Amino acid sequence: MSNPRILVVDDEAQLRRALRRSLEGHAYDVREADDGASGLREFDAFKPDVVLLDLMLPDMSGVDVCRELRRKHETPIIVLSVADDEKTKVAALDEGADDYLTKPFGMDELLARIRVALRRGSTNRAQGSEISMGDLVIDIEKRTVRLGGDELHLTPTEYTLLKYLATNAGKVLTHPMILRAVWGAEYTDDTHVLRTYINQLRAKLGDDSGSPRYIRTDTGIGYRFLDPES
Amino acid sequence: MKLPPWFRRRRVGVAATLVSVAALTAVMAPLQDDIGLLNEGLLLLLLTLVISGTWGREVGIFAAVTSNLALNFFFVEPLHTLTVQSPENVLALFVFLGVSIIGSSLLAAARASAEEARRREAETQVLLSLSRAMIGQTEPAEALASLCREVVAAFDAPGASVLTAAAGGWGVLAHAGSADAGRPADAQERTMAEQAASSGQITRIGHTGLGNSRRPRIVAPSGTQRIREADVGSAFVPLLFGDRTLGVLRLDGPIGATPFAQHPDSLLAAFAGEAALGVQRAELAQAASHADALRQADEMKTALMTSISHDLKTPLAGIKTAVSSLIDTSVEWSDEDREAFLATIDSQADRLNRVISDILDLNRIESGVIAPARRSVHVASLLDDVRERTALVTKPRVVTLDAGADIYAQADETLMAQALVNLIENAAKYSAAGAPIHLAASAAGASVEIVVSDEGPGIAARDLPHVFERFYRAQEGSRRVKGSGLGLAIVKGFVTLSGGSVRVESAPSGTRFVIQLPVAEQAKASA
Repeated sequence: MSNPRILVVDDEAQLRRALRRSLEGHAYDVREADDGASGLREFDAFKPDVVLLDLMLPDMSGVDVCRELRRKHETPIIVLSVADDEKTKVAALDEGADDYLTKPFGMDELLARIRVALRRGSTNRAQGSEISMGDLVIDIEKRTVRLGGDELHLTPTEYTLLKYLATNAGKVLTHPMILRAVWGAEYTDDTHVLRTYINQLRAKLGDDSGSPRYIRTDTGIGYRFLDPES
Repeated sequence: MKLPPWFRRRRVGVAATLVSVAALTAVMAPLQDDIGLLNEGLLLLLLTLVISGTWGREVGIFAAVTSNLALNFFFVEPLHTLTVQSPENVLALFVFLGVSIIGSSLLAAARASAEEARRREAETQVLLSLSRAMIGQTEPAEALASLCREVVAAFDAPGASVLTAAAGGWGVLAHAGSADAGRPADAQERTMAEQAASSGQITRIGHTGLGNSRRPRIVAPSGTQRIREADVGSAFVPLLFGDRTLGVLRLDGPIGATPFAQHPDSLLAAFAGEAALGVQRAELAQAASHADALRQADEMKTALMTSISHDLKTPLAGIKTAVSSLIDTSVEWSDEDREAFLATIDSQADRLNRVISDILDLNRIESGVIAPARRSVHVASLLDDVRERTALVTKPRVVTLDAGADIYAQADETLMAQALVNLIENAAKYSAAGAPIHLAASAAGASVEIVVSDEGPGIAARDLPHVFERFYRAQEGSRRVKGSGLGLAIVKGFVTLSGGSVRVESAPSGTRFVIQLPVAEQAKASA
């Protein structure tokens, strides 16, 4: 089996080269692109398994690159950016990025995120009739949820929300994304509703928002269902 | 019929009554047998009505009583006494008195309402002219100045001004009329203004010529002795807006004999209302511009933070990636890998250092802690020196140098060198790798020009006016170039501190930065 392929799109040559060397050391095949257009070209030629994407590119915004890639591909995209502001991050995530990492970051953190992204890319959990994560089991056909063997009593909305989060485990889901998927496009601003349901769900899962096992809050951005394997 | 104001005074009316009644009596007395009592009474009644029409009700009634007494004394039997013989004459005298008093009152009322109508019409004219003058004045201060001009015109006053109680004292916001109208309020005037503002009533100092109507009154400031009634004075009209007093309208006396001199209240109230709106507008405009300045400062701060965080975090990202890879023991790094990671750390640390130095330099320039040491500088040596210092950055380009050996400029050598290094690095960044960079210096008259030019693609016209602004980066095209966006702001700061100026000229064939410095004598250099 060949090594997983990673495309690094960043205009910082030094960072790109350091990333490449480090990733190659961890047995990934790496290609580089220094702007958005060449990134899109390399993507078609290289067919990477994961894309590492900077948001501030000389020719186009990384958000636009995300949108462009998502038109045709489901390949996981991890955004690497110095931008700390939530607006930028949310924009990238809304356009289909799976995860983001704020520069500067340690390689351990990046490698872990890459592993999660690769798993997401290779298995589509929603296809099975059952989603199983640790002692949490969601039976899609029966619409039941069991935690450590005991059945949880969830309202239909709580169930839909949990299923959506678990289906996208490991991926950062923005408030609007979750609201659109669970409640509908007209509810994308009702963050408080989402917060209420997340709290209810956490209570039923026995999850602590301070040290979460299942649902992690990314403040100002959204939520991430933790992948127990990572 | 226009009568002079002094003639309208009551005292004059009383005197005129006495004189005219005496005169008419004197004329009629010798002829009383021919004229008859009825005609004598009618003639005196006519005189009473004329007096009443001219001097008003009070003087009219005085004339009626005087005429009645004269009629009784000189023409009713027994003559030369105030007793009356015949009962019908008693009735006639009472009828005469009644008719003359009623007639006087009616005439005076008609006269007063005609005058009132004339004044209202004149007031309407003034207010119309005021609104014409105020319309289209976008600047609150301008609008208030127009208002003062209208006040001066309406009252034929020497001057008018709008004072506001800003920051403790009464400052003049706008004024019109004589130059004196713009004078700052003295202690007495400030007291009067305070009184007007706190009481909501008009206060006056000295003689203004405003009518003695009820409201304008002299208010002695508490705790001070009586105000001397000066020949000229001012009235202070409070500018009320809701329940706030925004200032006062200061009307300087003596005002002219305008229709409003005797009854100024309603017109002053209208002016004050309009002025209060103007002051309110001025306050809002000031608040808005203050808010605008705050917003701009805020935007600047945001831009600064965004830029600084990008410039500091980008090299840090390279360092962190390399370091965290090196300490990762799960991979057997080759020597070549290790060297490459270390090289990344080295170059990114340098870059971080440059960004921090730039930020500190700019901070030093802006906080004014740099004390430039200006002296005579040999320009060719300076250029040669900076060419050497930048050799690593400009490699493999050719950097030409064209400067006369006898050119000396008055400048701080250290600051100028740093500015030139920044310009050369800038030229290297923004032009193709092999393209030459030119350094040149020439003296013309009292100034020396130092030019750093490149053969790069030039700077877009819309970016050109902003290149010396800190954190300004070209809109597009040159975004590939990494920099703090501070380099040229530092150049400008250093050159200015050094006593010179810098400008930029750009064409698609290249960009020229031109530094101008005052020329220095060669002698000073050797001194």
